[in-house]
Amino acid sequence: MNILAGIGDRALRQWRLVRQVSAIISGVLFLAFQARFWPRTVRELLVRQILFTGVEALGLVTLIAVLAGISVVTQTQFWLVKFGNSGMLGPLLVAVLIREVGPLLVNFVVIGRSGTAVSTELANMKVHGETDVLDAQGIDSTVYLAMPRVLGITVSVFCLAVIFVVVSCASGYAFGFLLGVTRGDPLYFMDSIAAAVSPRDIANFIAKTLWPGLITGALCCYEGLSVRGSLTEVPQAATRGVVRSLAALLIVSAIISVLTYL
Amino acid sequence: MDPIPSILQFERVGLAAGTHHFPDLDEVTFDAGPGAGVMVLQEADAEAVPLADLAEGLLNPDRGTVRFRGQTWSEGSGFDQNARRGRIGRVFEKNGWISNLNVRENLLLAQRHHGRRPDADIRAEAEDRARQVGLDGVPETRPDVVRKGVLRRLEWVRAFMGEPDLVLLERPERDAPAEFLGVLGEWVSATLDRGGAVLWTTLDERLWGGEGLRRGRRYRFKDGRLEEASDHG
Repeated sequence: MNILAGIGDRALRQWRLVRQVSAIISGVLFLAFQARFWPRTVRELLVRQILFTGVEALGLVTLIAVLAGISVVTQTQFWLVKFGNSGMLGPLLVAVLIREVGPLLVNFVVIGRSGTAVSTELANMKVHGETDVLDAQGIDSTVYLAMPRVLGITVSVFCLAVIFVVVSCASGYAFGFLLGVTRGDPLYFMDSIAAAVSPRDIANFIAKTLWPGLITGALCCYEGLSVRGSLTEVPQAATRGVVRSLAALLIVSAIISVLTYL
Repeated sequence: MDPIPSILQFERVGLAAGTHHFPDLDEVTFDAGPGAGVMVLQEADAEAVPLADLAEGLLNPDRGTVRFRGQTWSEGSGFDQNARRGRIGRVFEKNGWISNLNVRENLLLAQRHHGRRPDADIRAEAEDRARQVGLDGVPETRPDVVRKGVLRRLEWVRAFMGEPDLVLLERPERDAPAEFLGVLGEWVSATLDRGGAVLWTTLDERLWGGEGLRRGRRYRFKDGRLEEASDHG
């Protein structure tokens, strides 16, 4: 019975977490569409978050995209040409890079960089009573702390994923050309990819960038703002934010794939 | 003619023993109307009385009612409540700074968040007030590298910016050079002159006895109750 009770207890805690994160996402989206919740202070925070999460991660994402492009695109081109099936290049690259690898790797980078930073920053603020200082000045924590971070992370994930896909395809083609693996001209390569992209692929890509971005932002804000008052809780909050965001990413990606293609 | 609403009203406010880590409060009653100052002398060896948190609706009393501008803190939406808090300036008993903002950003935050006042105006007021309390201006460094005496005076600057309706001063004299307390007194008087209200809590009997609040009511906090001393002004 203890094992069953433990499982039940764990399930209930996970369900409460899902409800709380859903409430944060709903609250953020509800507030975001009302102009009165966008004073200049919040707008500036949104820009700062996009700069930190998106712009400052550009170098790392580009590097990973280049390496992914070299691995995936080059291998794909090599084997398809070898088997005389180069017409499958586009669909295969769309299936791998656009549907799966691109959004997944970008989300990993964002969770690792921004997820820890957001959880840690907010947890420190909570421990040092700084959220009380904001409350005393009539500055709502959801509006000032959560909303710009959640939306900034979401926008950044989407933009970085687009850049990832473009760079990985370009680097793969270029590397293949250098190795002599590539047989077609660049326009043929681009056409084969463009022809293979369907509306479902675009919907899948958008869902796999926006939803994990929202969930990561909301989870990390929630973990950071949930600490009670001890400094030892700060790294715990950061770890929980990252681990739960990774788990949520994999679950959500699988669900979206199933819903899109089955 | 409608009566002018009180700015801050405590009606028989109480905090029960054991429900908070604050001292007990019992039947705390006072009324700070426009132009009224209230100064409370706290007990030196007791926990700080959370009058400022109660005044701002950040702490709910177990008994009694707190009103700001005639409204309790349960009235209105969250947005309205926060807008009302934006009309209150405060010097904090404990930490009053956001560590991931520099001092200038801290000072300007509430003013920039709550209104459309031009940034240049807000900055100019901050610089002017900073000079009045003996500072060269508003630093752009993080609060944790600024000396306590400077930070305290900058908290005064922030509390009075934008001509708030109510100013809550929690031991503003602590860590601040005594020679600038006169400037603080002038700012308090100016607030009262334009119809605002001030609530000042202190442990300094000399300040409480007359050097701090030049006019207003003085209370001594003892055994959970406020006992009024003689009026000023």
